This record gives sequence, C-alpha cells and structure tokens, in this order.
Amino acid sequence: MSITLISKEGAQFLVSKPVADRIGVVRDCAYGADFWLGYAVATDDSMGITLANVTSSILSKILVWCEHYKDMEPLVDGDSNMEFPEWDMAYIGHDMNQILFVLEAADYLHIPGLLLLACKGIADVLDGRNPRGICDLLGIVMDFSHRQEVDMDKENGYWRWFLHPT
Amino acid sequence: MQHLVPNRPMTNGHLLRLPAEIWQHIFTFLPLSLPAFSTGADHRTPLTARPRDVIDTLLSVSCTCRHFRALTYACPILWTSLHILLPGLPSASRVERYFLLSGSLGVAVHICVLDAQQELSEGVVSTLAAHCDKLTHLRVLGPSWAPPRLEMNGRAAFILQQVRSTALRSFSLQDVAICVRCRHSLLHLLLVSMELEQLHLDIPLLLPPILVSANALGKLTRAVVSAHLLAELLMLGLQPPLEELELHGLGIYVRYRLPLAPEDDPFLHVPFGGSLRTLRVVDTLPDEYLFRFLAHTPCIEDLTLLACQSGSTLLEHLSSPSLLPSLRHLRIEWGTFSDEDAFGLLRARGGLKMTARGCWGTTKILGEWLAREGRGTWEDISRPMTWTS
Repeated sequence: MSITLISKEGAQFLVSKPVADRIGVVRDCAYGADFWLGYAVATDDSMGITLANVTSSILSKILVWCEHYKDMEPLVDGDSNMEFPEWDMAYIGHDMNQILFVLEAADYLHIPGLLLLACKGIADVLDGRNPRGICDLLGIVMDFSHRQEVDMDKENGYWRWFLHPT
Repeated sequence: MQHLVPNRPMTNGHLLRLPAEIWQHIFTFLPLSLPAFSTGADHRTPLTARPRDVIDTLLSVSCTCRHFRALTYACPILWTSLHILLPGLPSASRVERYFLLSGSLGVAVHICVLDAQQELSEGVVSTLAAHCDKLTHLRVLGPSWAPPRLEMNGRAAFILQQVRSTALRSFSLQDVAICVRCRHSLLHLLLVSMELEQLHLDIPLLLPPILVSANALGKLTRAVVSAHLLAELLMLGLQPPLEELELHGLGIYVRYRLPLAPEDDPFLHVPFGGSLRTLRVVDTLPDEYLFRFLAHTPCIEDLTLLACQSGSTLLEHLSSPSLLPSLRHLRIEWGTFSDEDAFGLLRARGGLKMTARGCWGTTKILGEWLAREGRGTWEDISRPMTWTS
C-alpha cells in the first residue's frame, strides 16, 4: 500500500506505508479514522494528503530520512552527551538555513526523531561561536538595553571578551 | 540534495517564532564538550586548539539577544554542567553564573587541565567552595598522553578546607598530577562528602590518616582506584559498601607487599563482605595472588581480567564452586590457557558465560563451541587489540 503526499507547491510524492508511518501527521490522518480495523482511509493512490506548510524540496529531504528509518527506531530523546549515528550527522549537515527548515517541518509533521536530530544539528553549528558570530549566523540583532549591558558586565565579566575576542 | 533546499535566508523574526521549547531543546545540546571528546568537525574545537579558542557557547547564546537570554535563563537544566578549562574559561563570575542559573539543581563541574602546569585561581575556588552544597559531581582530568599538574595557592587551599559539607555524589581524578595543597583540599572535600557514591582515582593518592573520619565514603558503591589506595582505605577501617570496583596496580601492590606475612595484608583480613558484585582487575598478576584476593570477594557475579595473563591454574581453581560461587560472567583479555582449560571450567559451571579475547593457547574451536552453546564469545589474538574499558 502506498500513500500520496502533496507538498505546498502541489508536487506529489508517492510513499510506502512504512515510510509514511514515520510522519506522525500522515499516520494520524491516514489511519486515525479506522485505526482499529487496520484499514487506511487513503488506500486509493488518487487520494492524497496535502501538507500545506512543507515545500517540495524539504519534503523530499524529509522523505530521505523516513526511508532510512522505515525499519529502524531513530533516537527520540537526548542531551549533549548523546552520540548520533554518522549517517544522521551527514544527513543533517551544517547548513543552518536548511536545518532550520527541516526542524520547522519536523515539528509541523510530528517527527520526533528528526526534530531531535535537527536540534542537534543547529547546536553543532552554533557550537564554538561567540555572541557576535551567533548573531551574524542567525541574523539576530542584539537588542539589549544599555542597562542590561551594564548588568551583564557586572554578572559576567567574560561577556566583553566573548563579543570581541582579540 | 543541496540544490533542492531553498536558498532564501530565514529572518530574525522567523527564527524567534520557533517555539520556546524547541530552542530550549537545541540549547540542551550546547554544554561545552571536553576537548578530548570533541568531534573535531569544521568549526568545533579541535583537539589541538589553543584553550583560548574554546568558547562557552551556552553563555554566548545568552548574550546574543533578550529573547535568547530569557529562554536560557528560564531553563535551569542547561546550567547543570560546567567545564573549567585551564588555561582558558576560568572566570569566577562564569562559575557563579552557572551555580545561580541552575536554580535548585545540582551542578557537575569538570576541571580540564590542558597544559603542563596550571593553577586553579582563588576566585574560582572561592566560588566552588561557596556552592559546595550544589556541587554534585566533580571531575578533574587531563590528557592521558601527558598528565599535567594542577596547582593551587595557599589561600585557595585554605578556603576549600573550610568547607563543612558537600553534595558530591561522584568524584573523579584522571590523568592529572596534583600539588600537595590540592591533594589535601580534595581529600578534605572527599571526607566531608557523605553522599559520595562513585570514586575514580587513577593516581596513587595516599590518605593521611588524620583526615579520615569513620563515616566518610559510607555510601561509596562504585570505584576505580589503585590497589594501594584501596589497601589504605581498608587498613584505616573504611569499608565502603562497594558493588562495582575497577582495580589498577594490583600486581605492583602484591609484589610490594610480598615480604609481609599474609595476615598483615589488608586485602586478606579486611574482606569486602557481601557487597562487591562486579570486579575488573587491570594488571599483570600471577594466578596464585589473584586467588588470594578473590577468596575474599565471595559475591562476585561479573569478573573481568584485563592483561592479567591469567592461566590454566586460575581456570582450574574457578572450576571449584567454593571460589566465587555466584560467578555468572568471566571475561579475560590476554590470558594464557588452553581450550581444554576453558572447556573444563565451562562444563563444571553450567551457568557461566565466558568472553575470551586475545588469549594465547585458545583456538577457534573454543569460539565455535561458545557460539554454538550460547555460552559467550571468543576473539582471535591476531586481530587488532582494542581494550574495552
């Protein structure tokens, strides 16, 4: 059995049940109505599930992950000490924009394993950067008030060095 | 795949719209990893980086904008793992931040000494001493290929020795030489740590008897120590209820003690009682001395002998259920015994599982038998030797 997923742009992706099962939203949508009988609502290929918030490019990338994990359980919980498989780290890469899009989509589609991996990916890209570097990377504007800056100087003399390591 | 991903950058507002819990999840991956454990990938701190280059990313994030500052400050769990790198990142105010922002949670402190001789500053020591009631894990370590030396001035040592109690549950000192002041201060911390459960000391550290109190180490269940230190503990009447023990330098200890009469040996007349369940011995040691030690550890279920060169005599004795009657798993690396010795032991003890790696005298016949019977594993000595510790 296969299910058709329709991206934001209307592109159709035909995926097998084990792959679709990795996507929480699709699983709920396809099997939720008749879960106990074991029948899918979307058994007909002509029917599709529209994922209005996910672009084709991101959906295709997410499907690569789902395909990889169709027969395995991904990590769904972790902290800084957790070691992710090499394939996962290669998959997620170091492109911050790409990871952020994947993260948003994983959150929207209810894919906890991919969400965790994307969090790890972002943390890895941020790792070792000073505040200025993080602001530049994420396009964040430092919006501290003068008083807050004074407070930060008092509570953490290290801050200035972080901003301007010479 | 790269060409499929949109190139348009995300905006500041777009980023800030991500749910707070997702950002906090991202930040849980940020605590500084130790240089030795760093992945060395692109932008991360490689092993050879100058310590000055090491940055506390979590603190960096909290200094970027108000939103991130609020998110990080509202999540105490982020601040429960503090790395003090010497040289670099030693700021007392930074240490203070971690203790304050961690709220009521305990803090694990890792002091990583990267260079030949480093001093732990008085400010950092004062801050640590002031927050000892929240200090749950203390680990001091250096690079194993060139153990550095950690120093502390007299005032800092004095401050640390004024601590009356700590919340320490684990204490670890690895690959670092410490000055006398440091030694006394750290020992003092140990002795006022009534909750200590795990101890890892891989350097000879003699305990001054005057500092030892009767109830210290009373909850210690896991330890990695040298035989000399353990002997001192036992000799001083400290019998921690150890359940897991990794013992180094037992061979050296036994040879050092050889002139003594057996009844003077603390290992022999101060047994472990019934607490010890798992024992790892890492040293070359003649079988006959190993018996002497094992005779006083009757409840061991899991025995690992690494580089002990254990031979047929040991296996023959283990065949008798009077020695280690509860033994369930025997793991030997670099042993010297034959297939017949192993078969004899395994037949005598029906429930015993055996792992043999790099054991001279054994053949793949043993390996096939172990696999067929589901009684363990065997690895050829010709394979590259990587100890699993």
